[in-house]
Amino acid sequence: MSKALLELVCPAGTPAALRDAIDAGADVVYVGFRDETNARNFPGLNFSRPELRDGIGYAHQHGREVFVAINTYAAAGNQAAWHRAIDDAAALGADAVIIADIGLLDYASQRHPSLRLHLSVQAAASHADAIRFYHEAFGVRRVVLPRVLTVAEIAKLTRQIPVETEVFAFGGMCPMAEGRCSLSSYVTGQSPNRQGVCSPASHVRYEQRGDKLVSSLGGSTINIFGKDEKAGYPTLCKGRFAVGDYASYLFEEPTSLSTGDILKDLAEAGVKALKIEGRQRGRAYVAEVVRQFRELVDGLSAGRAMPAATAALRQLAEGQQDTFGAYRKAWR
Amino acid sequence: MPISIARSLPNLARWPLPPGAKSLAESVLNGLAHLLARRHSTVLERLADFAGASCLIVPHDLPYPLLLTLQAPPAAPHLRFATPADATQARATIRADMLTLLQLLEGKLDGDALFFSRDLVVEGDMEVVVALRNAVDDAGIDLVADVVSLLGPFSSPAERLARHLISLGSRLHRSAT
Repeated sequence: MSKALLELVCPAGTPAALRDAIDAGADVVYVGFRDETNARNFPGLNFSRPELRDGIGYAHQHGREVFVAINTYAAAGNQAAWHRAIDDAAALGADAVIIADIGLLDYASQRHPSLRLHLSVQAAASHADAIRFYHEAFGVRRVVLPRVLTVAEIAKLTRQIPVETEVFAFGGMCPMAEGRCSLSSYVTGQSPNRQGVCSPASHVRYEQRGDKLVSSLGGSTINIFGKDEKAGYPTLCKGRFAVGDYASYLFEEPTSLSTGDILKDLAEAGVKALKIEGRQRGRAYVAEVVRQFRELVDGLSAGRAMPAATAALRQLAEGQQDTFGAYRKAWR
Repeated sequence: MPISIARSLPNLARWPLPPGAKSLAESVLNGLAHLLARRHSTVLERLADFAGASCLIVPHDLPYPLLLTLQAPPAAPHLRFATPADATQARATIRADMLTLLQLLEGKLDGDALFFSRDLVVEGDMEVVVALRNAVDDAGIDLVADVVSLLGPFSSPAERLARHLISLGSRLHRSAT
């Protein structure tokens, strides 16, 4: 693997996606177990223990790493599934676990002192005091930063903290305080933070009404897409709501984060690793996004002129449009 | 049940297959489903929670919608031509052109991106659709390799010939359009 300026941390929801990510140039693949211990607890997705063992083997054969996301909050009085996930990730040779819950961080640091701990974005740790606490209390060595900071704020933060930073580079654009958002819970009764399901598929319905596509969540209409209008996921934060005759997006439009054009800024801000979102996406998405970011990061590391992020990436974005999100807060 | 599911089915009535041909085609389809299930058994494991669920698969450029019914492992899913009555029992519908559906089956296209662009239409119960997508995406299905595997020692030359013919057909199709 090249000595790249930025480490590429890539998603895999299945063993096939893991292999495709490695083959496309991922430095690291992050995965989850097939249960509520991770924030992509979707039907038919994720890894059994034997699949994770094989996946870690494949990655290590190629000199790459596997991180295991155990990033939901443990149920009160019933932490066994989360403890088992940490124990198994350690036993199977995971290179790091990604955790948000303070109790689980404590468990992992006590039981598996040699296991590398990363702080999940689900912890929403966005300032130096919080991040220092996680480092001093549990030995956390990397923080995945919430998608609320500008590049300038990230640059300032990286100088103040004793741990590596990982930032989202591409994919689903959560505009909320991650790990604390209950919008989906109110409508579905299932929590992104506890059951690992934002807008669970069991509560999603799509319906064609003539040329229009109607999306709903838990019986509530989230959006009505007109003929030829690009569609998005039925998440409340990206819902279009009507007051009187006027319909508009209240929080965010259907769009994906895309940082291909500001990678140099992120590297100069001291960022260690780029995270590509999308464990719930297909292998074709994983392979294409990883391949493109591999080229961009290698080009940046070699000092080559950076090409503009390609249209192919935009085709894979939600609503087929992209944004720099908070990295460039145009609204400030 | 979404209206559009029922709307897609009258195609079958417009293009009735002779009874013998229909029976033969259904045997081939079901044989293909069994072959894929046998060669990619992880699909069954990932779909185990959805035994009994059925899904309409509608290639909108062909007149014959299909009904896929999932079974409890180790039984293979059942695949047959859909009838208008199936519109009331199917939990979901997946609609796209045939080539797109085949490429999805082989994990060559991203279903979410196709949904965003409206080239893939999904309706009904998304739990079964998402599970099916994830299971199939992981399977590494290669229709040519899977089908020619039936030829045993002749599978390698048959695969080369089939891929050559597909490549030739694609070039002819591109030059004609």
